[in-house]
Amino acid sequence: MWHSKQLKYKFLIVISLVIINIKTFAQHDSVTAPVNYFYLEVGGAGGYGSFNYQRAIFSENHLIFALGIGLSTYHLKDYLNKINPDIIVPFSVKIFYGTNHKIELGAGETYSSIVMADPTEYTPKRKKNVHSFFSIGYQFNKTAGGILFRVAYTPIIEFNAYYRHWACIALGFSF
Amino acid sequence: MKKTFIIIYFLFSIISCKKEEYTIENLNGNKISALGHAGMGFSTTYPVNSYESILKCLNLGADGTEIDVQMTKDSVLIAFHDQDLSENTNLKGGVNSLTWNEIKEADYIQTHYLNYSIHSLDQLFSHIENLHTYRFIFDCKLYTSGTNTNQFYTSYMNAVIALMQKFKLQNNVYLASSSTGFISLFKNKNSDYKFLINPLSFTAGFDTALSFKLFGIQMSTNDISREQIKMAHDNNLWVSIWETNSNKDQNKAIKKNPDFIITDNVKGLIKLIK
Repeated sequence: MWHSKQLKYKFLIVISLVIINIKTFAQHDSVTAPVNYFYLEVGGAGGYGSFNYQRAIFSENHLIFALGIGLSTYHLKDYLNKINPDIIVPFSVKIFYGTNHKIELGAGETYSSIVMADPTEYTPKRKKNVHSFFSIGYQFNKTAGGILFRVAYTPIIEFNAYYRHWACIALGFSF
Repeated sequence: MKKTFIIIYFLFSIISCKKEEYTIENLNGNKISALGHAGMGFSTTYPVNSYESILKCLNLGADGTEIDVQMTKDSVLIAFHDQDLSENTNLKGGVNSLTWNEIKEADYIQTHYLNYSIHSLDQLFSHIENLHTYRFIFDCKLYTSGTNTNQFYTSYMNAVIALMQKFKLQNNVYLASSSTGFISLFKNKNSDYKFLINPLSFTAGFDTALSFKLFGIQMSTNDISREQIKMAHDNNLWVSIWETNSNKDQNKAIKKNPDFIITDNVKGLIKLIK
């Protein structure tokens, strides 16, 4: 697919920079907010929905820095009706500001591996791509942990070519 | 007491899940053919008329599928629904204003991350196993804007005939159209093909079907009654009905005894009649 190699490299560079920065932060600060967040999202970077895990890497005062990963699919069986799921994995980097009520700013890349008919052999083949997304939204979760609620505007730049307005609503828990 | 209640509840559930038996009387050997609506219909993430949607429908056990058929500027028949490509793909323009080489580069973009391709009917039929065991209804989408209507109809007809002859599909394909001009032109040249009229009302369709000696009528299930279907059958006209998506609609539709049912809920219909 066009640009996909470029995108992968770009994505790896961004992630590497993020990890380096986190390590730098981590030398000075400790995490005080809930560290683990599990939530089910409708819409968002997973497409129609996804199951997500998010981990706070750094927090200081009202600022939280977190990394997230999700999992989604459209079809568990392919068009030949055999188990062969589409795989959609969004990776995200987010910054939250607030106590119980937080504003969120984030960005990420979604990896998609979709089963389609190969254009020459007409057999099921995986078409792999990387897409970018951003998020700006609101998240509620108490500093002591517990129920999590999140709503965000999450535009996606599909195949790095089409800007699509999109949003999400999520429910989960943190601890 | 609680246990008794639970047992009664489960027994009731099992009884109510029992498959209903239908006594079908029609021209299709007293069986109803379950056909997909452009494959899996509009209620899945597969784009309608895509190869993946059509294959999924056939692999679920459908007897065939309806396909929306349009013709490109260079007279290639493709499976595509919308009047303008911009409605669901990354291209703009009507199918008849672009060549096949241009259109085959298009991707469907209706669902995130799913960029399925548009296929020509030649490609589709070249890659369907056991092709002759299935039935196909071609919904002839005759979007003639910017063309000479008669010339367009003639080219379309020639393209359909060439395709049918190449794949020997005369017995498996039913041509559905609302244009009596197109049907008349086609039937005058080739009377062997099976036509279904897409009428505005049953009466109009019935009269047209009889006067043009058509194969049958295709209508929304909401616009045709069991008695009207019986009347069509008595006059040797087959009946295809669509707009049957919920189980309730499908159940009602089956009891009308049509010959074909086109549905967006392929799995549901197969469960009911297979």
